[in-house]
Amino acid sequence: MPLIKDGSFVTDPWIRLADEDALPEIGPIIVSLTRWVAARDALLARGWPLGICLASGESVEAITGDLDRFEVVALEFPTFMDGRSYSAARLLRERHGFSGELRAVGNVLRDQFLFLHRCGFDAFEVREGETVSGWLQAVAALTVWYQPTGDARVTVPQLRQLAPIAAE
Amino acid sequence: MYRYDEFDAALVTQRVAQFRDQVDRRMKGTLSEDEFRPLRLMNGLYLQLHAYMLRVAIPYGTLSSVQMRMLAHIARRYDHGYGHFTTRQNIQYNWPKLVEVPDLLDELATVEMHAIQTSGNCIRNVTSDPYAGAVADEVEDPRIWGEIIRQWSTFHPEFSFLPRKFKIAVTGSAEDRAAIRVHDIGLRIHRNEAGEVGFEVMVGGGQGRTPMIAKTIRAFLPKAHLLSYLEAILRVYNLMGRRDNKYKARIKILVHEMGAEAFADQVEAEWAEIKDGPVDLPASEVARIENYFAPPALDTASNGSADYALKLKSDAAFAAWVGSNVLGHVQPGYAIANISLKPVGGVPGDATAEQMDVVADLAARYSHDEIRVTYEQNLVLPHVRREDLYAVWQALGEAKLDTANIGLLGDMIVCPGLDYCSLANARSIPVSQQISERFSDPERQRKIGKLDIKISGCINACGHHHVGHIGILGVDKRGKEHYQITLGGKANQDAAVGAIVGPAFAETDIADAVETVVDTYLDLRADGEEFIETLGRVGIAPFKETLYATH
Amino acid sequence: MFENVITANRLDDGTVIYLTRESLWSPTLADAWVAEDEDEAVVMMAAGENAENKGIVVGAYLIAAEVLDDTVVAVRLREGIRADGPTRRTDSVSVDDNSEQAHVPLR
Repeated sequence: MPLIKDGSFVTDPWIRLADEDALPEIGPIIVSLTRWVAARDALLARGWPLGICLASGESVEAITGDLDRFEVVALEFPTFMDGRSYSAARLLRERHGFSGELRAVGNVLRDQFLFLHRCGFDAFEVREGETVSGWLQAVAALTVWYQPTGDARVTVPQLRQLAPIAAE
Repeated sequence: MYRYDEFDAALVTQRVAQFRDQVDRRMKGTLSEDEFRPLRLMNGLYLQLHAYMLRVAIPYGTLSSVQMRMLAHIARRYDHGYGHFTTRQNIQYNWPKLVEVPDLLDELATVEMHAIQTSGNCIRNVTSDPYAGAVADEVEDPRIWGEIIRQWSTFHPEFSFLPRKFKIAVTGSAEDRAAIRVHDIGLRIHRNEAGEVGFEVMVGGGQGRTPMIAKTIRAFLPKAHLLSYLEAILRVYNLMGRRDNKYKARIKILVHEMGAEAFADQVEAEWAEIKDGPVDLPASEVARIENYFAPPALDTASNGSADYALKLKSDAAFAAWVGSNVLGHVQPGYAIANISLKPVGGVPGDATAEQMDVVADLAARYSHDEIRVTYEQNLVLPHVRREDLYAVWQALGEAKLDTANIGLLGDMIVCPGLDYCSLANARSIPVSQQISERFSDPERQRKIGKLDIKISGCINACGHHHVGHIGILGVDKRGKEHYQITLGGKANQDAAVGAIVGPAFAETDIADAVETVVDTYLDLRADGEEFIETLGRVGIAPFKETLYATH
Repeated sequence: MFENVITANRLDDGTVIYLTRESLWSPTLADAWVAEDEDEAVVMMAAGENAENKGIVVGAYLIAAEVLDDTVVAVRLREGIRADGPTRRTDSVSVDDNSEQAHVPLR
């Protein structure tokens, strides 16, 4: 799957390891929560960078004690209608201070990029045919936001504090 | 009334551009229907039985004259000359063309209106008391918080793909005119023992196939914390609400399965993490929004006139209309004038473009430019001087908007049913017409007194049948329309779900059945008793007996 | 008796339409191509899916129909209403407003 990170296509250095796959000798890997729980010591002993993928609905609390061991947290969208990973992303970024790569995987469509970006995702596994200009257009489609999240966007209430407009 | 500032305006404009691009991509084939459907739904655009249907939000039910004229214009320019006011303070257009919807939305944006989040699994249009700012029993105007919630919930990045749709209603009075207890979240502004103003927070009400009355999870929430508390509720719901079964995905099921206390504990724990964070608005921003809802400049010298008193005496039809449709205003000398959209034999909640224009003109001239839309599918002129009521009534009469039946039998809540809706099992409109024609004598309706009949064409309960004093639910029995009757539902502060009386009635028998229920009540009622009180005293057994003895 | 027609909505304006023998789409049920066996229905359905893929129509599906007095009528009430329009309506604009679909004015 093509990967857009911070607004451009990048070569994905990570291998998504299925639970039944043997551990490769070398290279950074992303494993499931199940595998992490089952083979934690072996995974750490490899000495290569490690990422974890949470299925939608798996609680971020399961990994918050180990967050500094992961360079990537991937959150899954089994269908784009399943919005649990938006909350998971905000919790990881805003409550647990995760500063590594937060990757949206699964059914990730253009019209979700903006909300995902606002919730703290910086990497997106996108469909074949998706373009950088499409991504850029999508994340800039709306520039006005009422709600604060952990991202850098300035909110409307903040802007109103800067330039108060008297009610008519 | 709230007015958009540059930011509010920019957002709505950007949203139209975004939607225009989505429609373009759909027409070019880069978006499949499966991908496009949720996108158009997020903007209130359905594909219904006959055509596309667009639902436009009327936040907390407040409209200006200019906005109402635009709704009329849209009905004429983009639709078939009419619109349908819904039970959630929206208006629906039944025949827009997909390719014209972006233009329609551009026009709506010029009067600070939109269709954002009027469908989809997101936070829907926030609703409120249609008499807000005009009634004496109000602690504070709930529309201030309605607007604050509207802004906070608009394109909330975390809560746009919830397990299911999410509806919030706010009231500022003890008397519930917004059906808050059958909403996902109901908020009641009240004063605590210390005299501070805050919210009672109720969660998990709803209708549909599993009707439930909301549970109070917090008796008093200081006003300043409303948004962080809502964010906590929504986060718990987004993470824990069921997604395995569409019919169990509403928050009411989560609250029911967890228990209200356990749910409240989860919310409180989440809230403890965010309550002093950046979600809640600074006091100056609350004050800014509050300013927009300052009472209009009413004429304090007005206390009715001799002429008004005379008209009441001399014109029985006017007096009847005042008796049923006009309510007292917080300001002596003023009145709240309800406009019934339930004429005998009409389509409940429908208004033609011409009627919308008449209401807009009357509001501009007599009601400080304000119109309200009720969840009972009527309109309201909230600030009318008593001495102007006669002129208002006459003008309404010319537009066939003077039906004197608010709160009476003819004032039925009715969903579009199988005449328009692709989900319906049976028609609702013809049933309501049969009933309104059967009881067309206004004097008879007045003798019967307060009675809420609510009709839904399927179990989704858009016609609120569960909370009707008499509820009517359309079902399909071997290809034929049948109607099940429930009795004893209530949508107000004593909210209750009605009980099914027995087997469903055929379409040809339903008006008779309603008449039997009404006659049974008239036989049994004690002096001064309303239908719902008699029913409460005698139970449903006598009604069951007469209903199934005569059929 | 196996009698089916294919209906859908036109993508651009939402109009209810029926597949005709010429593989065109008509807003009039009487113009519909009536399949008399399942093989024919399969061919029709393929035409419907093709039109969906081309972005001409949305949501094509088979409905039960009957040929009565040389015209085509829907078997189920829902499809009858879909073919003829709302049985009660506030406007007077109605496609093929010929008989019972009378305009019911507001009072």
